[in-house]
Amino acid sequence: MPVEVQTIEPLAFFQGLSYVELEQFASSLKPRSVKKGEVLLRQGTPAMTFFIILSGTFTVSLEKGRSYALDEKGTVIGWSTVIAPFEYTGTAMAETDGEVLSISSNDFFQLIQNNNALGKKIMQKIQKIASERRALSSKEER
Amino acid sequence: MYGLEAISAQNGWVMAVAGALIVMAGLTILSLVISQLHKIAAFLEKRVEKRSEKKQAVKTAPKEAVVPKPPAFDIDEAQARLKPLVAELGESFDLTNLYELANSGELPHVHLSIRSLRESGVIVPAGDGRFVWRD
Amino acid sequence: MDLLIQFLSNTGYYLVDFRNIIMLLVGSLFLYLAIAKEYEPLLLLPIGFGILVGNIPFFKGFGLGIYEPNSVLHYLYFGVTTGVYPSIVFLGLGAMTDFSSLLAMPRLMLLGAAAQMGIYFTLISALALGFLPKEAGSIAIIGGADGPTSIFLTAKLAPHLIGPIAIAAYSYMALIPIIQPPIMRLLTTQKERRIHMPEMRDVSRVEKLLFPAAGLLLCCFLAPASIPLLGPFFFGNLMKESGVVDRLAQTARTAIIDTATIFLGFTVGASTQADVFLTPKSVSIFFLGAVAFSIATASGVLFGKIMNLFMKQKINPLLGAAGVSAVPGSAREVHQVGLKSDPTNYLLMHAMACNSSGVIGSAICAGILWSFLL
Repeated sequence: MPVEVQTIEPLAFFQGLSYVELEQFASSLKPRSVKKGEVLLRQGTPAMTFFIILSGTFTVSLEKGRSYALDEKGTVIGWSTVIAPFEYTGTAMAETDGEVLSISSNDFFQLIQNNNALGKKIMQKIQKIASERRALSSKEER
Repeated sequence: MYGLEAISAQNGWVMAVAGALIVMAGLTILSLVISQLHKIAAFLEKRVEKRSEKKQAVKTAPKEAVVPKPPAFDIDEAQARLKPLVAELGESFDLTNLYELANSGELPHVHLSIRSLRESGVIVPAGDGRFVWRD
Repeated sequence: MDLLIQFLSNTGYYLVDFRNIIMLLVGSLFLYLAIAKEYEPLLLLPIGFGILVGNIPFFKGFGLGIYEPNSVLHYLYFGVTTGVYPSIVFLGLGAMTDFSSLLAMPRLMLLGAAAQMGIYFTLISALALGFLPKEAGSIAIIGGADGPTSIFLTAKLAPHLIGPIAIAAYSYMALIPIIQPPIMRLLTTQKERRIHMPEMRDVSRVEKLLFPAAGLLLCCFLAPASIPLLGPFFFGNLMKESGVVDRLAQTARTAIIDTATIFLGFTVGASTQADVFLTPKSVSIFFLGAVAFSIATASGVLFGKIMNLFMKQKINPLLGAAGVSAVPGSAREVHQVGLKSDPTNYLLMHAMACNSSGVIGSAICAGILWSFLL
């Protein structure tokens, strides 16, 4: 079933995109139901897809026994699809039944090929999130 | 035939060098043209803007046709306007005659006035298709 | 009893030989790479399944095989041998490509041009290995890293080599994540990989409308033989940018290109029958294909370094690898290698510009080679 613009418009990641850009992005997203206990992605495997949470709670387990929970609608899991190290840095498992939107790296890059302006906006958002992640992880290391 | 001999015999060197130069030259020229496209685009956009500005200046703003605003409907006013006309028509009258008389006097909201007065009981049927005025 | 024996002697089980088995394994490998590893599934899945279909043994003369006239597969293959499918694919490509990045930084087009040197190096190598000129031209175009272009030119110059050349071209396109990164790292220093590119300016709609017209006229006046590819390509792009035929542009970049891709991949795969494919020539073609891809990547990167000798504002030489026409695979690899060297260095949009210019460059080279070798 195709994803509606109205589904993604209120999500934080998509703020600042025009209706046409939202439409293009929505046409590349695939909805997926997730069952409790299902593993979305595994640490160390090549990052080929990233996910956007619509509902449900997910636990991301990192190395050294660290983990954190994600349940906010619109949170992105699997950023390593588009930023270094291009392999998943944690394992994401569903704590409850839920729903996510997924986009493969092929479709993501195709989207950018189709609309460079959208690509520029998305990459700027990704840069910001990546620098926040780096700042967070360097704080944790200290 | 193999090796360098084969390449020379089939004009391989010429084809390779010429082909490489042609594609480099072609894309270099295309990139030079592209680098000037923004200037051409700006020039075209400026021309379109100037043309539309000229059109605006030449055109005088058309006079707005004065359309008299119809007065707001007031049933008491309607009653006051129609009463003299009813007096002219006699004790009982035909609604059609009242309608024609009111229109010829250019009274506003004739149909609405007569209907409202009928609904409020000022104009009541007298029988035989005729009506009377009741204050 | 005779009837039964006749039937059994016409089955694939009776007619199979070891070459069919090898090709069926090759087809299965392609399917595995496409489905399990997700290596270019849009290309490898139709080709892989086509290989399976084309290598099922059958009794020749029944009008079943792709090379037999009046067979269904033969009619579908018509689009390959005449160059129709590649033209249609280019129409869809043009309708899905945004040239804003290239228009914002036109000098990146030179990297796309430089990456085409792989084609001419391979031309010489193929001649040296004893291939005929038309065969050498068809093999050389593998260096353009563009499947439809390779198929188009091979259909014109050396149709008997369509199978191995197409398989080589698409295989190496799928293997770009393995071929390109080592070459990029070998030819660049850590300092060069960390060069940040300036942010791109916004491009106006008028520029995007003028580009397909300018591109078509300049490229096709230079190499008229590239009209069957670049004509539809720029037409598709104009449909996309005009904004007045959105329905047509949408159809071109979805239904039309997908239909052409399915039939192109499937029939090319089916054409790789064992007796045509498993020959010493095919081995040479595969070897030359690897050379073509490697030289194309290297020449793009090296040209970037040469440009930096003359330019005030340095270019990240990794972008030269994106001049190879494999869209968006090579742009993605450049982006990844750039980020691994410097996590703040986002090269994707610039790499897309080089990629787009590579598509144009490879089509021009196909036109040039066709003109030379007519």
